[in-house]
Amino acid sequence: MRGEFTRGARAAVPVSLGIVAYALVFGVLVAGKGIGVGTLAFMNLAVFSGSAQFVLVGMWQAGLPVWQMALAAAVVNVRYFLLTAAIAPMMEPYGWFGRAWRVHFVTDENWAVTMAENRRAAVGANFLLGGGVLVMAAWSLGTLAGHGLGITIRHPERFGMDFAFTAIFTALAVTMWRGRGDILPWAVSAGTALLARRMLPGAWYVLLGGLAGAMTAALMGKRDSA
Amino acid sequence: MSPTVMEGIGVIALSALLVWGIRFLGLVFGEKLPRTGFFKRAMDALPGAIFAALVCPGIVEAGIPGGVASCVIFVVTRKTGNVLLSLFLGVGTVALLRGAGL
Repeated sequence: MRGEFTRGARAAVPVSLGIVAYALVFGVLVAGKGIGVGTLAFMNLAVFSGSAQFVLVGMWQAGLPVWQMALAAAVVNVRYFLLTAAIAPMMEPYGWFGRAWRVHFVTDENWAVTMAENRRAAVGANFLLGGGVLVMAAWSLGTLAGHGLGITIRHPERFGMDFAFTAIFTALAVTMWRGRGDILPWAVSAGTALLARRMLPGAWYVLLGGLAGAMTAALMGKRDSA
Repeated sequence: MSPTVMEGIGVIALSALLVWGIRFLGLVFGEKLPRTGFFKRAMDALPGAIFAALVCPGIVEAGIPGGVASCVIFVVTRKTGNVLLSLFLGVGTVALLRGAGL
């Protein structure tokens, strides 16, 4: 099991490098809002979601009720519903408590790495956990460094840094490709996501696109799973 | 107006609970689904479909540099299988093309 944990962490090294850059920017933003290091560390460990934390920090000084801020942070994470639904078979060996704490370590990045690896050879929840722990370390260290060192990255888009996540997910998507049978489901998914992105706030586009693509594949009929 | 220390802890704790709840409910939902037929095909296709939904808007929003970079990433990943190399070349392509005024 330890071997699988380590393999998961190793496989998540590339995405963790991207996360550090993103985390540095977030840390600078947090410091600018007057949020202390302790609060930031608590947020990193407890919420452990970049998108939710960006929303929280963005609303920090708006004087909104606690429940409204928390709800906004949760809404941007509805996509996690599908991500964790897809890993349900991996969690089967564990009891409810084991599943409950492990699921906290699901992020876009280590989920993507795990799914890509699972396409090549079946992996378990400890692979996912290894990646999750590394991602949490990268996120925490990056945000704390950005907060404490006062690092500023002017115009990160000039260096293409805003494209880092799309780049890594695109590379992982290529490794997930199962053949021509994926063309229509992926096209439906991409088209739905584009439309939803324009019409709806937050990350609903991921949820709706993923659902539309999966339904298309299911409706297309018989197909062997890879 | 920044929240007080207690309000700050409260908002983080409630957010953490809600975000964890979404993660956990998804897991429960995935466990309840039948593992045969329609639902199996849907769940098998779900990871790839989510990837497509995640990356497509990002590529489109990055314009021509994003489109060219995604082609570079496709070729490099297919040829080498090296995700880190693809990341650097993809980001480098975007930076280069933006620097060239595209």
